[in-house]
Order: sequence, then C-alpha cells, then structure tokens
Amino acid sequence: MPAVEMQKVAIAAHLSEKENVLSVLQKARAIQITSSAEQQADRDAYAEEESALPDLERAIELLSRISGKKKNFIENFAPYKEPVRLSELKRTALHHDWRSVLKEIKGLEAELAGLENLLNALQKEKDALLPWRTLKIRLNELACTKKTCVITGSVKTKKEQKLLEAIEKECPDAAAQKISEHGDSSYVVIFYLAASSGLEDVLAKYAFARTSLPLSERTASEELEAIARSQNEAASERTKILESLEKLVPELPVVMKVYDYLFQQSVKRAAERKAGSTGRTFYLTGWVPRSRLKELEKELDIKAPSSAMASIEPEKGEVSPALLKNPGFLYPFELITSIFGFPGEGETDPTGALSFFYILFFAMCLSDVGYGIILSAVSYYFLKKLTLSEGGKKLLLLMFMGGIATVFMGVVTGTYFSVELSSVPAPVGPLLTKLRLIDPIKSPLVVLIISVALGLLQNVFGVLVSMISKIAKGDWLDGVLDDGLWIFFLLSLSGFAAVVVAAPGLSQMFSRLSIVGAVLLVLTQGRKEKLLVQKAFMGILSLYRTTSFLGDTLSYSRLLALMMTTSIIGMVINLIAGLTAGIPYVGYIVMAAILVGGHIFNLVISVLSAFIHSARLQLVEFFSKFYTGSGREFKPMGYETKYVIIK
Amino acid sequence: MEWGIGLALAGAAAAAFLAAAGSAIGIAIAAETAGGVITEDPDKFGRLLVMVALPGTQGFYGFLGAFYIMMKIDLLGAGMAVPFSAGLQLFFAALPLAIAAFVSGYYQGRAAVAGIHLIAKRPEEMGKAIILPAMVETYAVLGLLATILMVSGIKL
Repeated sequence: MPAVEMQKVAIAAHLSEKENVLSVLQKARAIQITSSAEQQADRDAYAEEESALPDLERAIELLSRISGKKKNFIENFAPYKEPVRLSELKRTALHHDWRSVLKEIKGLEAELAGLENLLNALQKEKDALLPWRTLKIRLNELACTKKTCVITGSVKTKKEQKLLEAIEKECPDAAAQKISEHGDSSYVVIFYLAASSGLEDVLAKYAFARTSLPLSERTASEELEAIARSQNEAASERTKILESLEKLVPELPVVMKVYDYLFQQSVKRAAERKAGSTGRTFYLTGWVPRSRLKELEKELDIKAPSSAMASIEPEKGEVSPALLKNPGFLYPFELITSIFGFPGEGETDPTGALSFFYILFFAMCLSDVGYGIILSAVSYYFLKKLTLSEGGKKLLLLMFMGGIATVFMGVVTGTYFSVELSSVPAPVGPLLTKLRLIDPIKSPLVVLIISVALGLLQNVFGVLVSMISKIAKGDWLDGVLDDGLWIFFLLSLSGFAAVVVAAPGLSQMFSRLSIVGAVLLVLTQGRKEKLLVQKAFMGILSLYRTTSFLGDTLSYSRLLALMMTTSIIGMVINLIAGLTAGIPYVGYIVMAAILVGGHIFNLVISVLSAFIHSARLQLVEFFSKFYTGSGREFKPMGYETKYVIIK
Repeated sequence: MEWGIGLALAGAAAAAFLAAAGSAIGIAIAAETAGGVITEDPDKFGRLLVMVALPGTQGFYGFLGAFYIMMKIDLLGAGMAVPFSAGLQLFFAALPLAIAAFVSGYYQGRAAVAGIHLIAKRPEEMGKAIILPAMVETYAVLGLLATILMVSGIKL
C-alpha cells in the first residue's frame, strides 16, 4: 500500500490576513511548513505570549504539587485532558486576568524558595552548634589572646584516646577539654602560641576536624534557642505562603487553558518565522497531502480572500515527508512501522504486509485464552476511558486485537490460565481437550517446526514484496533476477530439507531444482560488475546470503520459547497456589492472592515480551528484505496542547 | 545420594541462579540510570520502568529451564530413577541457558541504559529504545531453546 501522495505548495496572502491564513492552516492540520530559502528573520516575533509559556508551566507545576493530586501510574502515560473549544480558550486568555495571578504565584514561589533556603541554612547552623550546647561560656570568649589560642573541633571517638596521649607527649603545655560525645567527640584545645608547632601535626594525624563557631555574645545553648525561634518563624511564614498558594489552586484549570491558548499562538509564531514576506505580502511553502489540497484551498478562500495557493515543484534533492494511511483494521499496525521508520521516496508502506504476521506471532507468544480475554477487556476499557495520543490509541487498539487473536491461539494450544485440562471436569475438560490441536509443552518440536516454517514463509513473502514493488516501478530485470531467483532457490532448498526425511523419493527433484537455482544466482548476481572476474566472484559470493536467510528463519524459533514461557510460568503459579490451599483457615485466601497476583504478573511480562519480540521479527527479519524506512514523518502544523484537548 | 538426580538438579539450579543473577545485575544497572533520569523528570517513571524491566526476562527463562528439568525427572511428583549418565546429560543441557542468560542479562542491562538515555532526551522514541535491548535478549532465548530441545530429547 503506497503512502499518501504529497504535494508541495506555496501560499501567499496580504499581510493583513496573515493571522487568518495561519489559523486556517493550524485548524486544518494538513500542511508541514518548510523553511523557505530567503526566510525573513523576524527576531522580535517572540511575542510576550511566548515568553510567558515557561512561567505558566512552572506555575502549573507548582499549583499541581500544592493541590496534592498525585498522578497515578496510568496517568503518567495518558494524563486526562479536558476537551475545550478554541473559542473558549481564547476567551479565557483574553478576558481573565491571568497575568496578575501569574505574578502573584511567581512572587509566592520566590518567597517560598527563599524560606526553604533559610530553613536549610538554619538547620545546618543548628547541627553545627548542637555538640557545643553544654559549653557554659560565651562563644566569643573562645578567641585567641596574645599568648594563647583556642581550637575547636571534633575527632572520631575511637581515635580520641590516642589523640590525647599524643598531645600530652608532643605539646605538654596544651590543654584539651572534652565537651561532648555525639558519634564524634568534640574538644576545645587551648595552647600557647609559642609552643604550637607540634600541635598542628598531631591534630592532622588523628583527623581532628575543626569547627569554626560564631563569635557571638551568647552561649551555644542561647544561640540554639535563637535559631529555634527563627525556625519557627520561618516555618509559620512558609505555612502562610502555602495557604495562599492553596487558595490559588482553583485557578489551575484557567492557567492551564491560558497556557494551551498561548501554546497555539506560539505554534503560529513558529510557522511565521519560517515564512517569508515582502512589504505588503507574506508567503510560505509546505507539503500537503494531495487529497486535502482542494479542501484547504477552499477554506483559505473563505477566511482569507486575498490568499492564493499554488502547487510548486520541490527543490532539488528535497524529499517529501511520509504520511501513512491505512484502513481501520490496519491502522494500529502503523505503530510498528513508525518504530522502524517512515517510507522513503518511492517506497511502499509495509504496514499491511506485516499486520497478519504480527498479530499471529503476538498470539503465538501469548497463546492463553484467559490472558487474551483480559488483555482485550483492559485495552477496551482504557480506549474508552482515557484521552490518548495517536500512538497510545494505536498501541491499545493493537493490544485489543492481539488479545482477540490470543483467544483463538489459546484454544488451539488448549491453554486456559495454564490449567491442566485433564483436571477439568466433564463435559468442559474433554471438550476443550478435543479443541486442542497442539500441546507445546508435550511436543515442543512440532511448535518449533511450525515457528520456523512461518519464519520461512514470512521471509519468502518479504522477498516477494520486494519483487512486486520493483516490478511496479518498472525494474523488471532486477525484480525477477534478484528477488524472483532467490524465491525459487529458497523454496527448492527448503523443499529439499522438508522432503529429505518425509518423502525421500522427491528429494532428488528438489536437490536438482536447488542446484539450478544456485547456478542461476551465480550467473546473474554479478551482472552489475564490470570485469568478468568480478562478475564471477560476486556471483559466487551472493550465495553467502543463504546464511543470512538461515539465521533470519531460525530467529523465529523464539515463538516457541515465548509460548512456553507464558504457559509454564502460569503452570508454576497454579502449582504454588495449589500447595497453599492446605494452609489452615487462610489457605484459600492465600491461594486466591497468589493466583490473581501471579497471573497478572505473568500477563504483564508476557505481553511485554510478545509485543517486543513480534515487533522485532517484523523490523529486523522481515523489513530487511524490502524496506529501508528512510523517509521523514509528516508532521503537520496543528493544535498542540499540553493540558486540554481542543474540540 | 543419587548422583543422577544430583547432577540434574545441579543443572537446573545453575540455570535458575545464573540467569537470575544476570537479570539482577542487568536490572540494577538500568535502574541506577533510570533513577538519575527520574530525578530530573519524575513523569518518565512509567516509561523507564518498562526499560528497567527488560533485562528481567532472563531470570524467568532460567526459572523456566530449571522447572522444565524438574518436570523431566518428575521431581515434584513421584520422582523417578535417574541414571548417572542421564543426570550428566541433563546437567550439560542446562548450560546453554545458564551461561547465555547470565551474560546476556548483564549486557541487556547496558543496552537498556542506552535506551534510557534515549528516552531522557526523546521520550517519543520509546519504541526504538525498547527494540534495541531486545536484540540482546535474542541470545538468551536461543540458549533457552537449546536447553529445552536438549532436555526434551534426553531419554530417561
């Protein structure tokens, strides 16, 4: 399915209608504006509204924090957004005095930050003074005199005794007085200046950490009281500020609306900066999906009669952005394509080609009826309840479809919350056993063969897609010789591998076909080289690609491993829960808790694995056959909101 | 002591604890980085949790392999006689899983760290960030497969 065709257009209008044109474009969400070569730098275009955005954002953050509403786990991914009309946003921004609210919040925020700093500083002072609380003298009396000096500080208590001995030995004139013991021992050391030479070394040796105390008129305990008073004052001040902020919490929805309105304006300003202008007119260029050209032109005619839109040729080397468009049931699979990359110039959108395999592989990895039902139900619930981004919607739709497919696959493998079917009473048990076509735990080899066969099928299909798209572009020769021959070779080679055991009579035919294929490849794959030697060499070397096909195919064996992981871990959960049923009185409660918790846990990690590994098989093994994903995503100018949704 | 069962259990145990250790290391590396990113932006917690969980699968593969061996010798049921040679076979069969899961758990953790850095700067590219570490996991899956196939092929 080809990606949507894009047309580059130029739009010009009288300057007086600039706002109208931009509004129309934004509402239509149909144009990705490109920077014109001679764009005019309108540097003062950073209007007041745009500069207010960061302030508003901070205010919103602060108020949401004050409001005490915690985001739950789901809201982290998909926060609730109120649907609002653009006109209402505009009215709020124009008529509500949000600037003074913002100013007030900013002021309070600054005060709050100042108080927090003060409180931190006070706490530090308090911690420093605590060990000296019992010192009875005024702190400024600890100053040096003409002949003596004082050092205050602390030493690790276990080194204390050695330090005292060393002081006694090295500087017998110095006196060390212990003040307190609080993890470390705090000391006041008094000494004669004349005999201080040895003391420094001794103190350093025993890691004596000096503390400088404030030279205050008061004692340490009086200082501490003063600090406590300041702390109380600051704390009550802070409470007051928090209270006034709390009074502002009702303004939160308004501030959010204002933010989103200004955000819309800033999107327009950004577009404006990419536009060029003359004295009276302005113009811009951009990409529009061809299907929407008419509609856009009509809308522009109505809202900005002076405007004109014309299709233009893209600049040399300019590549059109890619927009995926798939019918409803394929739409969620665009997520997988977009993880890899958007189709480049002339490339087809691989979404449709991968969808069937993706859902099949997902179901195989999960393959449990119970898990499938839960996954679908939960996805459906969230789809209805949450306001979602495009990506989130695709993901949940994908999970919903994956869940349904898993139910079918679960019936095939006979897995229902990993319950042992033989223990289920008749008629349900035997019926379900009859429906079971394959038991992955009893016959892993069969599932392995199916997995690898599916891998081969998808790989060949990938080469086929490559061939078709080459032929569609008119490269008949490349399509048939590169891809067609490979398909032939791979099919005969795998046919040979399949019949060598099952039907040896046919093996000779397949081996001959394989040889024919190999010879043809050797003869043709070097055709683009110049010298005959190079042709031969490249031809032989091309057969090496067989190993990459082999590797790609074996990679699908993960389907078996993941299928078994889900069901065996489920079995273990059932087993452990069964053991606890024997516990007296609370046995069944414990059992229920283990069953519910265990299966939810298994479901979550299994879904994660199923999603990742099925995606990987598409991106790495399948895409490598035909898809480069070198394109850029089409990102039209539109409404971009953070807190509300524009209806 | 029954040497056969002992050897089989040695294999099962090695698969379980080496794989669990690999996952623990991998998750720890990823969680350290994620913690750093969350200090800057707590809203990324959900996304990063997925990234941190990625190297956790190896632990389950190890557990699964251990359980598969236990089922093979019917350890949780009536039990069966396991000859010395069969025990040795089961022990060797456990090695691909044990070693591949241990090593890949660590390296997947490192790849997840790179993905976490990616999400820190470009949260919209989460899909790509998830796929890269999954490349590493492939080899733990292959180890698990090798072990399962070997164990299921051993005659008892």
